Amino acid sequence: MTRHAFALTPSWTAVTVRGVRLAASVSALLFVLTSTTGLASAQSATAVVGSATALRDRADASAATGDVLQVGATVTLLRRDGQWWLVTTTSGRQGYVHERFLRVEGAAAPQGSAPSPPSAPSPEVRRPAPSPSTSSSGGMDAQLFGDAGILLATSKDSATAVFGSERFTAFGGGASAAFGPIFVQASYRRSSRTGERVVVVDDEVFGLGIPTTLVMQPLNLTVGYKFRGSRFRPYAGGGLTMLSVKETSPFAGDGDDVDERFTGAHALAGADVQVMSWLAVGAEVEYSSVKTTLDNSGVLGEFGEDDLGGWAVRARVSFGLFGSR
Amino acid sequence: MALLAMAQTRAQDQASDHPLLGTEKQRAARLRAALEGLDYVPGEVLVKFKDGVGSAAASGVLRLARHGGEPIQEHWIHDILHARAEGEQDVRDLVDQLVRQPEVEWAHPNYIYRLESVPNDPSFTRQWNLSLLEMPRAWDLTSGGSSSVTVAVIDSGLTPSAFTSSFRLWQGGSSFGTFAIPFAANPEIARSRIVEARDFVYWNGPVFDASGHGSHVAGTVLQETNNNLGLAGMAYGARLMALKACYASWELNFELGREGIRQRVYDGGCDLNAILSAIYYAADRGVQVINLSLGGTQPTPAYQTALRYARDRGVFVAIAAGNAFTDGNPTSYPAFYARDLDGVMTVGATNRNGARAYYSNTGTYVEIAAPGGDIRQGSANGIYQASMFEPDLDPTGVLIPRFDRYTEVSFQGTSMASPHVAGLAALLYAQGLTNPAAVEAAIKRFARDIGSTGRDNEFGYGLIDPPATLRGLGYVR
Repeated sequence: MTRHAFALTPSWTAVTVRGVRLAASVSALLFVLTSTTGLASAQSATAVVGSATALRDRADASAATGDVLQVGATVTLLRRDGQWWLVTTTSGRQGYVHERFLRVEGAAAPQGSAPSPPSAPSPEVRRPAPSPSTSSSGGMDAQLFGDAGILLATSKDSATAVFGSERFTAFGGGASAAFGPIFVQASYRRSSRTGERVVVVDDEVFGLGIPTTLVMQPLNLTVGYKFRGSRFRPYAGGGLTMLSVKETSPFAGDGDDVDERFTGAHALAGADVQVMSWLAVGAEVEYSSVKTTLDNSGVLGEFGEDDLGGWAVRARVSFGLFGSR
Repeated sequence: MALLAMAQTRAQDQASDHPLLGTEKQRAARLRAALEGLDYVPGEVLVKFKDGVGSAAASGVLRLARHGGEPIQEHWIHDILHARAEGEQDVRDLVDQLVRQPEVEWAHPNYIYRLESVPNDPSFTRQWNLSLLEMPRAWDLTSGGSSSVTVAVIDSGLTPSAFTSSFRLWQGGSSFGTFAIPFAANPEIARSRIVEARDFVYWNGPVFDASGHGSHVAGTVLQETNNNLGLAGMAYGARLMALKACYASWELNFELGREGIRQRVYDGGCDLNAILSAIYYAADRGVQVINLSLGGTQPTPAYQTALRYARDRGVFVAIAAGNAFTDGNPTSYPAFYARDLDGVMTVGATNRNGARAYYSNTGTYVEIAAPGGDIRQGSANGIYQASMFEPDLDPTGVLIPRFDRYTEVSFQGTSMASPHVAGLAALLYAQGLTNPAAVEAAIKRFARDIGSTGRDNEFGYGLIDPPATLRGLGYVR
């Protein structure tokens, strides 16, 4: 667990700094996770060798021995035969191993006790059916996610005046970890839109032909509740939004461009559906409210609007460990 | 007046025996006004008839008012009748008769208005006004506007190309002489940028400037940059419609010389019929902006109608607030009418410190302020623009004027303030605004609020802020 945390921290920093490279960062992190936990073979029931032993060609202690299995090696469980498992090693060899040498992955298998797969594969099934909830990584629940969505700005009149509509597309992602049913999450998104500077006269808008580019980058810190009983995992939460707002135009003089930070709040609700032991897709709805502290400034001021938040809907893809509790 | 008897027949009246000076009757009436100090043109009235009164009925009303006298010259300025009834009758009696007729909405003399500036000696150049307004930043945004925008400057005219004309002038005592007077084109406004120059003083004569005022005002609106004189105008990319509605004192002095009158006058003027005709002309030809650096104390609904007509055709109008603050601060017209017309703005003047210039009229009709200069603080504190070398044409100091030498000339006045606003409006039109009410609202919205907080009677909404106005608003700021 400690290794995971170390692996996560620097990469998360990279994500917040260079939002556009989020997808690449997530892939890299995933590689770190899988290579350090053996999750790559999680599609089949697996076990870790608890004590050094050897493969045998029959389910019998007197049978001939084959390759030696080192402590910590991962094997794939194919079939149970009494107290023996027919397994495949990572190098592709097959053979029988007594269950006491194996530690089956998953919460159901007590640490250090005799291995006992949560549900024994039937002898007929050569490869156990993947069942994310049954092959999940015990109680640990931590994911990285990337998302894409649309923000419908609360300051609809102002956004429409400058950008032609109140819709902003946003891309981002974050990291989430659960402690029991409670999860904490940090997420970052970025939306950029270019419109036209305007004059507003009696709520009528006149464009001036000068482009203006708005970049909004909210960083959300969320605490919430997540149901983790099945592959369908609804969640809801809320927290702080720290919004970075940059607005730039050509030929700006001192103080003309905007580079400000505002703090507000958000509430969200959504659901993930776990499609593989390490992958879930989901959707969420978020409402955020972040008031600008620039009094009566810009088109927002002209329309008496001051909220940079709004309703967002987004789809997300999560990677990582999906605990079942 | 003896000279009034000289033009008796219509044939003579229609003949223009001097290419620059128009018809005998026009000249005679103007001379009489100048010599007698009248604020109207003798023998001329403007009449607005009620809706539905046809031109035949209108002529009948005029004859009736004159008790069946000779037919008089009539000229329609849009829906206003400009009638000349020189001779026996005091025009005020004619007006009294006219306003009693049921068909008449209003009638009054053909008033004379004045250019709102005080010229000064040429001196070292420094366009502090353009620095005060941060125009270099504004030009970054707009590159001086667009040739698709035309500004009509209704003023003393502008000389688009060089010529020489002979005039007889009184030289003091009993001496008269005839001199070839040279005119030269304003070197700072290329001929190609002047569209449809037109004369309304002599009625379609050549357009020229014998006062320097029109040249100076046009220069503030759109004088070229990167020129020999190192001066610039606000909207140096725009085009100019130079409309001559005002005459210089020299134009009257030429006429005095022709008539052999041993007298010199020092003031020109702008006849109302010419001003109105120019406004309608410009509006009908699709200009975007009109500048009126002129005014007077006579109200007339004719201004309201003409200004509304222009505004309704998408024309923004800037008007000088008037220079009479120290002369009792009388309400100035047409400036007064701008208050109730969105898209028509009255402009007060500031000095280079952003304080109200001492001469600038105050009142509820002042809507905005722009640099007008204060020469009492030194001529360097006037507004510099290319115009004619002042000693060449000062009627108090020179016997024979010339109108062919241009230099940097410092003027002060609300006449100088108004073209800053006209130029700013031209830049806004070049950015795509088409609605004069929006132009006015934008100029007010982004003005620097100087003087009392909010709108006040000295500066209106404040000093224009071209960079902020042209930049407009972003989403957040």
